[in-house]
Amino acid sequence: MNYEELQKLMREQKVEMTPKERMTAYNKGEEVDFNPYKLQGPDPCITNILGYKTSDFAKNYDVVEAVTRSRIDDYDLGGCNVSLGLRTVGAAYGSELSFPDNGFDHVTRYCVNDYSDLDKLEPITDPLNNPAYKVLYDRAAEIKRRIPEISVSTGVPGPISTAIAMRPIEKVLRDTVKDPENLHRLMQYAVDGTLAWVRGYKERFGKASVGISDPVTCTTILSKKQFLKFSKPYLKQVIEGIEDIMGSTPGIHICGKTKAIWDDIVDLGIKSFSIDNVEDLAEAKASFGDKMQIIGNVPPVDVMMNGTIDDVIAAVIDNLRKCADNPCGYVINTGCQLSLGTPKQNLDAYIYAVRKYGRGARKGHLPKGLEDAC
Amino acid sequence: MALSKEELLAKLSECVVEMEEEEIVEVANEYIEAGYDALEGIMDGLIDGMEKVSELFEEEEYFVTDVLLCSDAMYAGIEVLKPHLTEDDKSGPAKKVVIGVIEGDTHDIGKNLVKILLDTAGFEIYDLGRDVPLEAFVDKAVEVEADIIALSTLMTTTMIGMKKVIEMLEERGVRDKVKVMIGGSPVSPRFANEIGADGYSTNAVEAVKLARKLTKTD
Repeated sequence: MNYEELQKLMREQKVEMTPKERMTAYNKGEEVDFNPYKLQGPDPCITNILGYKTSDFAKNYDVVEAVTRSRIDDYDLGGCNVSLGLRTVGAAYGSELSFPDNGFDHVTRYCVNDYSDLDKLEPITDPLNNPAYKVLYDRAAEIKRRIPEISVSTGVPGPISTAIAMRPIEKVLRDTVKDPENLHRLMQYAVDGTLAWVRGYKERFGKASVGISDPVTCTTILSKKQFLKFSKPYLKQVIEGIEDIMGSTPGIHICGKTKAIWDDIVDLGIKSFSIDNVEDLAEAKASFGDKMQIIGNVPPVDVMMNGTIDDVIAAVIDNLRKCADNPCGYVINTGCQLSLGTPKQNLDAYIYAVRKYGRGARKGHLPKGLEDAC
Repeated sequence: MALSKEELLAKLSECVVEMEEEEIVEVANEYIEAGYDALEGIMDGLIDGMEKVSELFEEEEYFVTDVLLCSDAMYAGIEVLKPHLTEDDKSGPAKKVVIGVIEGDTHDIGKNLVKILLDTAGFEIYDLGRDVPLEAFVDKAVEVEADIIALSTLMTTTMIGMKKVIEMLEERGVRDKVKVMIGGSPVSPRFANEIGADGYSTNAVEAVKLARKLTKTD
């Protein structure tokens, strides 16, 4: 199918519910117009589609507003999200980051190169005025001022992912064997800095839903043993802290392989699990679909960024077939963050396919629209 | 009773596999003091151990951290044995690999694993580090007459840089002199094909096999 044909078909599609109405009804077990969907971390990608660079988004509220309106008007994504980046807690403690003109930040100086640095580290007691956090709180406030009707959720990195924004990853990995005691101290700082952000958010904006992203916690990087010792207990603290502060349970996204720790993720008592496309949704459903909502996992690079319109439609159908009848519900999403350079036509193809083949969705059942798929 | 040469070699290998960074120094010293050949100590002791580590990594018995710690032990052993190599031990020219993480990306854990295992496999490594300007890959490859350029990235934003490196090699008229291999989570065999790379590997062990294949040293 070419883009012109796709756009013509999309104009004929009917959308009967708002994203919020759809999600609420779906969670109650009611039939909805089509399967709930998300696009993971879409702001940088939409920024580029609108012709701006990521540095424009960081500096200019007009660009933030344009991107946020595009989320709602062009992609029907409902609310927006102002989250900590994977390296923001590190920056809040004193790591130095570099922000490229168009791309993602990276650490140029770690705040805990040596463990003697840890003794000098100041706890984040005033998150609202911490420079690394303040810029993000101010952004959320400005979005709420400019678009009052929008709900703004937030997100935090998992503690082991924050640890590698405070100390180089190879040192952290060696510490798991050679200096576990100090690594445990570092992990506690990671937890405390993360919950400081959540407390600040609540203080300034009231209760909001919180997501967790934890790319380092996958078994591509950590062994299960390392996960159990250095990641899981601290993730648990972050989850319980969020529940305590916000009164609601977070969901989690983990990049990379996770199959070996699925039981532990269930054990963490989270609301939903967003799975990377390296794992199979059918297997995930069979393993824990009766305990947790599943989110995922259209490949962001091979399909969304580099695939054709037909590739995207086929991937959506494949995902719905594998997981839309998940007993605890299913939200279709990309398997990881949308890449910069993903073309608008593929985002449209994704939405078109969810509306068409996810039509008549109900928790625990395959959507009626799948009958149209050959 | 003193250990035999075979026993000491086995122990060197075992120290690598068991990540015994301190014990390996004692064993290597004992091996040299007994008058045994340094090159054999490296090849049949230390490298033998790292080969076992590669197998364990491939079988998912060992993880990234294990490979790092095993390589720490291996390099500690090499520090002891290397000064005892004779001129004759320095065999013919090894195949040369220029390796680095593409500009804009500072994730280098994957690249470092590949580097360790290629080094162990006998390749001569020129590590340009992370966030490497694209021309630097080409400049270094021309300068050292490299057999392979190994490019890594974890970020989709920098994938396109891999293609540019290949184009630069073509512009400089040296594309046929050097093989280009790529790796990192966002890239795929399909992408490698599209940009005209010579090969793609999913992990560090595969990367060594690919490098051997590309340089016909397998």
